[in-house]
Amino acid sequence: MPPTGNLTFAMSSASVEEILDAFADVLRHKLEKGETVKVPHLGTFSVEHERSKVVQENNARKLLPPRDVVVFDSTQH
Amino acid sequence: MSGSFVQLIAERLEISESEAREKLDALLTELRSRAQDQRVRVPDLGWFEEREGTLTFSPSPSLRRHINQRYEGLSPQPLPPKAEPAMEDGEKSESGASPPPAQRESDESPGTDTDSEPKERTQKASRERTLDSFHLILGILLLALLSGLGWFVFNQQIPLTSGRSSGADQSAVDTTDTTLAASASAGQQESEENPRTSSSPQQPTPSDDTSASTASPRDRLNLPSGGWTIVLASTANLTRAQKIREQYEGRFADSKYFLDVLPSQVDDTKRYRVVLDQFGSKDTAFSTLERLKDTLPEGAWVLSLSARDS
Repeated sequence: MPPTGNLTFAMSSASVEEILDAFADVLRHKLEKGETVKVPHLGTFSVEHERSKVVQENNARKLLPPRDVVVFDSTQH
Repeated sequence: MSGSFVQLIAERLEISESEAREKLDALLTELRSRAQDQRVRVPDLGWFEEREGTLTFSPSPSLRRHINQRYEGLSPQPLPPKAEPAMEDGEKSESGASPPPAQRESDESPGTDTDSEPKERTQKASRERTLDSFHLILGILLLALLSGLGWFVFNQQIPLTSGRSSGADQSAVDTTDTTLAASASAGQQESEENPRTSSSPQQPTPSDDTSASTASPRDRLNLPSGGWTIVLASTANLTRAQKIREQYEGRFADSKYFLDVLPSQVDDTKRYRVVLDQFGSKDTAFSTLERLKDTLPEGAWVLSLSARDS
């Protein structure tokens, strides 16, 4: 497990927090609306729908409800 | 798309788009760099991490929850064991780990071949229930049929077993008057339609005033002899006719007249007429009716035996 840390920069702290907050806020807002977001130098974020499905766990069957998942493609187009 | 994203950042920070692009590029370059050897957390968004040379992203629980708001409240539901594991995993079905029959029935899902056996059992049970119901209804119908048959036979035997009785019940006689009054006019019409009145050939058996008084006691009509009779009552119930006959037999026990029950067919209905004696002529019958009017019911009428329906 690699170490985990918050993203910090050598730039002025105010600018870093502002750009980080704006990046997260705009991206999150777009994903919540189900839109696909292409971020330059990073990748493409999208939301895909997964239908309900039956899974088998330890001889027990479960019906999982449908859900939306965030898909990230780091390929630079 | 990218331009719009950068534009949104610029609007959010109230800076120019070029400045926003510059700061964003610096941010993402640092992020990619750090993600190569550690998980980088972006608050309220998720984690970035490079795995096998590929940058990956894991959304935060908050983001997952927000994009699934319309499915909020839904949770995994436990399901009963499958009837046939072969439905999804053929190897498991060969291992013989199939659930007990009771569980298979509870996990019944329509339209699958694996559920054919429980379905056949259900259909068989349904057929058996239907068969039992059929037998029950058949038994009830048979019982009703036998009851009706027994009632019919019992009623047919009454005339053979009933005898003369001296006990007259005046109240019961009064009830017959209604029947008499209702059919009196018809009886009169019936007798009027018969052209053979006093001119009809005299038969030795029917009585007239003189022969009736001297004739040997008689208790039954002699239909082939024809003639006339006096109808006291008419009913569709043989038992009731017998009772009326017994009532009047008590009144005429000491007289020369006899009473009988005469079956007749009237408009597809079998009726039983309680009649008094048999007379050789219409005049004799009418004179007898007139003479006995205080003893006979008010609606009594004269009937020609030669013109009978039955």
